[in-house]
Amino acid sequence: MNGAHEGTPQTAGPPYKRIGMKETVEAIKNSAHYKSKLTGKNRGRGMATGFWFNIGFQSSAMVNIHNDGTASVVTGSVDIGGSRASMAIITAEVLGLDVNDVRPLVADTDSIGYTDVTGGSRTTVATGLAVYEAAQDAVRQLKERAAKLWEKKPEEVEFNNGVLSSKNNGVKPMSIKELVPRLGRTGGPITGRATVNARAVGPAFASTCVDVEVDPETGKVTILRATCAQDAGKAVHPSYVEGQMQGGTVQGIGWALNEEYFYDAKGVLRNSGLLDYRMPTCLDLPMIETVIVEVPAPGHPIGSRGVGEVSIVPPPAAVANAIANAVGVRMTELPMSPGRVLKAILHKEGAAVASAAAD
Amino acid sequence: MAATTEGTHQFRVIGTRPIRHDGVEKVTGAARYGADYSFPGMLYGRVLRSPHAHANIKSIKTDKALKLAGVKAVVTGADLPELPDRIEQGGELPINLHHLSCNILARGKAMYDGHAIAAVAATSPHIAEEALRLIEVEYEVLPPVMTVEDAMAPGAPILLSSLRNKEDGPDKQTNVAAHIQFKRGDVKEGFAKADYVIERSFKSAMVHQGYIEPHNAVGIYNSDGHATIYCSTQGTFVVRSLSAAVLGIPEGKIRVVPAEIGGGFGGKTTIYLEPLSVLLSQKTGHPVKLTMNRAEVLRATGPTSGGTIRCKMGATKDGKIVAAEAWMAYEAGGFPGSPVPMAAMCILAPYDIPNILVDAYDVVVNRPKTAAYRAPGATNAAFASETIVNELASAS
Repeated sequence: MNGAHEGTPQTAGPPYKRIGMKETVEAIKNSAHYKSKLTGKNRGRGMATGFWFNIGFQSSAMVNIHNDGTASVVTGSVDIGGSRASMAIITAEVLGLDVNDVRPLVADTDSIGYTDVTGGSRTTVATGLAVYEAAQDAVRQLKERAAKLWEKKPEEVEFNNGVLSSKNNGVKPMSIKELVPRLGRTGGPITGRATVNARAVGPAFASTCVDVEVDPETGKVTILRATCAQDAGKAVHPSYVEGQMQGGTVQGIGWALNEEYFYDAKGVLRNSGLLDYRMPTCLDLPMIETVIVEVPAPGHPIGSRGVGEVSIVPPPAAVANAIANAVGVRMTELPMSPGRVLKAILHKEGAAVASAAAD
Repeated sequence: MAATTEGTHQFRVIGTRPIRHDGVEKVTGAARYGADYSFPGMLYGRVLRSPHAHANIKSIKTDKALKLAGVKAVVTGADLPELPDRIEQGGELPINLHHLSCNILARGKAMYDGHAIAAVAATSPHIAEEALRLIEVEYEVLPPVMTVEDAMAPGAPILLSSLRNKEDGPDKQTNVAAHIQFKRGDVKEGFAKADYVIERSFKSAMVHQGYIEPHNAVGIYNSDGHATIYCSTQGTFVVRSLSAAVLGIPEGKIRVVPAEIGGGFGGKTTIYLEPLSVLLSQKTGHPVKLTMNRAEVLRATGPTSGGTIRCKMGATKDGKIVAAEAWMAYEAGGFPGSPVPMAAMCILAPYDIPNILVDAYDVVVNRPKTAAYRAPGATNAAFASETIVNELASAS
């Protein structure tokens, strides 16, 4: 009834196109986690949903066909979350090559056209679009060369799964590998190129479910189980999508429970080391469960949405809601460190005692 | 970990899970991160940082440091060109180049604990570190303003003398860099229809992205006027354009070579050491490498904003949210530019609510200048709104 959907006006005005907000909530409701029963004292379950715009912006890409029939894909997008693998996958998809026959590279600023930052969850969507188009450009050139050899028009040549063929006059189909030795005499090497300013960008939603146990003596919150469901549009490399979902969830839990800049009265930072600026480690958390939801982004040839960010958004609220469910206190300050949670519990107990005394 | 698929067409390779192409280099330790780059004749740089959260810099004396054997150059804010103190369209996002430059090396004022004051290049990291102790800085310590409440209070110490906002006009000094408002429908009418109204005030702490690899840069300035920067960054072209602006070098004369990157999460989308490495190389004629330690990363690079959010929502008995209001003030750090404009658009984004009013304030405080962090501003915003939604759902 309240969930945003296609046509809902966004805060800044224009309505959403197709989005997967409700689908992520449904995915949580259908998850093994949500269907499991949570038992035990001082335990609670909470849920929350988060939104992030995602951006498109400018990217450049080149696809080089090598003499042995393999290819390289060159972009200006620094690889933080596994984007080289995704660029190779997209190139392999279009060229019909094995993914290991595509070498992905990140070039310096003089060796590739302008490319915006790896950020805003834009790389797979925007640089991926440039790579998709650059690979298509290479395919167009491959067709032209085959047409020259076969003395046909380029539109008479078909390209499927890395094989060039032509229906008319029964020419023998030819793989990229077979065509490559003939590139020299049909016009020289092939480099596919594309530059884009990606405008068709699908926003992302994630919903997160968290089970916690609160120690009423110390206020310490332990995460028992956490599941993130996120709309990826179309996951190009599902393992790295899951990695992003898990990483964002962990950072969100750190923000929820521990992380905080401590300044003294003079404004000097007193916890400028990782012993005192406490991020969660693998000892603090269970394996984060993930459900990839795929509601394709309209207008994108693959349907991908950015996946790098939104998973960090729901955890603090989900943890706060789980704490409320566990021990009946509403936390309104981040991080919900043991001291703050204990204070809230004692305040609630004190209020109960005071009201009992007044009765 | 099941995936639900809807209507995507069939792909052959997309959607598969091959081993990443850069995997072997990473697990064998062969991958080269920013700090792994070394060049013949390379010098080592270190940055002197303010021990005060808020202080006027009366003077900086570098002669003793320069006399130390092995020290090749010392630079301060006076070595960088003055840039226009106004918001300009820089690439995709508006940027105040004066503020950017002042964050690289302070001019006149230290804005936070850890603010860069001077930089040294020497033949070893130890000599460079030693030289920092020989730089004499005279500070006039000012009262620090650490929270949005303190910064917005009437009579609060003014942190940036030239800062103005549209609302208060050109004559009023302020710590509020911007006020953004979003409105739809009529919240007053909306709340009148509500059977349940929940209102709460939330606070969130400043947090850091916590990437494992600290910032780094090797700058090589050639005598032909071209410079090369090796660094780990999320955006080589951003490093190029921003470094060019700060140094006053044409953009086309800088080449940025990306190293492998040990995490960024938004924190490596701006510049800190990159222009200093070129400036020190220009002064010395040698390649110069700078790397931060963990304390520098936490004190002096861009975390994300903490702040205060008041959120109010109303729903009818049958569970329809009919009105929502949010007031949010985010810590920008020592210079304007918190993610509060985006947070304002995110806080109610998952819902279809007919009447909304969102007021958002970007507030300067004596903390490090914030940078992007994974869905900047949205997490603390959702903490407020999703808590209220949960409470409304339990009530109705």
